[in-house]
Amino acid sequence: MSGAARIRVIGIGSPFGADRIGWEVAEALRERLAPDPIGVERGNAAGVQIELADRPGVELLHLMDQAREVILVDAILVPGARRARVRWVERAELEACSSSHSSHGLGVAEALALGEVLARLPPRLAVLGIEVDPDADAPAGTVAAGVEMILGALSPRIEAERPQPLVNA
Amino acid sequence: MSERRSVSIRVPVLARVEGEGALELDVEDGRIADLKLRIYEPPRFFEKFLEGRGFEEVPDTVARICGICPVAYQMSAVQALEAVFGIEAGPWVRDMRRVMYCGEWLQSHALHIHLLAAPDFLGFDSVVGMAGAHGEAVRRGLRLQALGNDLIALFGARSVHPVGVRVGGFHHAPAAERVHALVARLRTALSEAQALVEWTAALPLPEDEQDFVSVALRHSVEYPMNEGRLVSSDGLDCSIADYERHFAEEQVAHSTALHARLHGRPYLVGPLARLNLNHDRLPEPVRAALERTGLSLPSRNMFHSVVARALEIYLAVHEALRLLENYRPPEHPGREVSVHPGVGYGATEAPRGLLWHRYELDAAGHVLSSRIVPPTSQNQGRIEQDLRTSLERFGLDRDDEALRLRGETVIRNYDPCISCATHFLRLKVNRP
Repeated sequence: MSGAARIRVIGIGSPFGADRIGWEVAEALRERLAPDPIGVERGNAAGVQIELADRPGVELLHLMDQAREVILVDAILVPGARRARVRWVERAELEACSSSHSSHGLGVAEALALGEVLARLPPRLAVLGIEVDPDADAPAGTVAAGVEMILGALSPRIEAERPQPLVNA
Repeated sequence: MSERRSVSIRVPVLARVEGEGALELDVEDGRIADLKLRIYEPPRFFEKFLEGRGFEEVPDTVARICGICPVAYQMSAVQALEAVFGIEAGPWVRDMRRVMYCGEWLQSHALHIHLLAAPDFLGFDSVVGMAGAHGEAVRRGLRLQALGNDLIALFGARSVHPVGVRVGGFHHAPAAERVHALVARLRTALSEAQALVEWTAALPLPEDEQDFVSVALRHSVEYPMNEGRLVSSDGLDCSIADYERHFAEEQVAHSTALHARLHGRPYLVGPLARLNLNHDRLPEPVRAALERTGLSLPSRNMFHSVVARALEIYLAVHEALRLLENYRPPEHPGREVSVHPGVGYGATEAPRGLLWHRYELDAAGHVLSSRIVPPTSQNQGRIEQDLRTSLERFGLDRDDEALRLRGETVIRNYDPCISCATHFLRLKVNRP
């Protein structure tokens, strides 16, 4: 991925019901961050690149290429969940609740496991999980809560990555 | 002498195939009493969705049938619709459609070889385990797959459900700079594809010679992709418009996909069928690579399909490079279309085999009727035939786990594309 930002947030999902929530959080984050004033490709003023992926399978490894830090945002479908819970997911937990039901037998956990074996994971990687009932709309405020979690995690580095204004000597 | 046992194996959800299918096997008195490749995904009714829609909507609609081979659906559709209107899209469009198709063969074959098939042959239950011992091979496979995706996106704006193809040509021509960057990657990929051919030829593939009929397109000079006549290894040679005179689809109770038969018999489509019928059409470097594998053609061992896929990856890289090396954007990326009523046929070689389309349009260019015959429905009968022969030769006295694994290996070897989702494997064995 040429011209890539060092920090990347990837919303993972599908068009089906609550599984869209990863995309919605990523899109809300894109709106929240100011548009790019100086034309950094596909980035924004904070230097954060935002991608949406539809059940990417092994493509997830390509989407993370060259990034120094990646946050994946994905739905955790919990039938009957009464309230949405937004939380960081540990890798071990991800494997335990792994769902190969995504495209071509390679879910997020398997793609990350493959990336680890091949030494293709970014230096910093976190997974933000959003527990939602697959048969219900996410409660109001869920998307905003996800955005706040990401901004909170990234804020020290967003400042460091922010493109500096051009100054005439 | 061991007692002949009865076995009932149910693999309700096949893993590492594209979509939802199941295997049911019943053995009684040491013989197969019943064997079914069950496809239980709901019918998708795309042919009905198309009725009443304008011809210009067809390419983007049929691309939605498959997340792995959308280009094949688009190519068969535009070929059929251009036949209705009696137009030729011109040499630039013809070449670039072949390049885009090369991208699809590359990504689909690379995915199948490395993520779906090779773990079976090397004794791993997934690519994750295999990557530990064969890391460089998996990395190379992922690079080839990414290159294929990028070739599709060059013309289609994105690699899944691309949107750049239209009746008469493309919506836009790629910029020269983007093409030049891909040409550099294609040059690097030539040696990687060559190495992949050698790697697949060295895999410990089962020996299993069987009698089957191969069916593929055949072109006067090219290895077939986007056009040709319909030929078979038992002497068929007809226009694609005559498909329905020779091939019939029938419903079977255990599958929501129709079974196709040639003169009443199952047949094979896909990489090995193409190679069996068209190896004399390979360009020289690819033919030389084929000779180095020692593979004798026509092959009757279905497991040689993995080598055929690797050879077609090499072919795709070679062809895309040949067609893009001197790329210049054209004045127009296609031609305008005059609408006529009529019937048109399209047939191209999807990664998994022949993909046949027929459309009837009214005077306004709306679809009156359509028929789409995908490769997997054509291969279903052959897969069941193969399973019977393979499992009997493998030994029905083997334990359930070994029988299940061999059955799945046989099925996966065809790269069946049931749809675009794979599920966990759950195995239930019933012993009487």
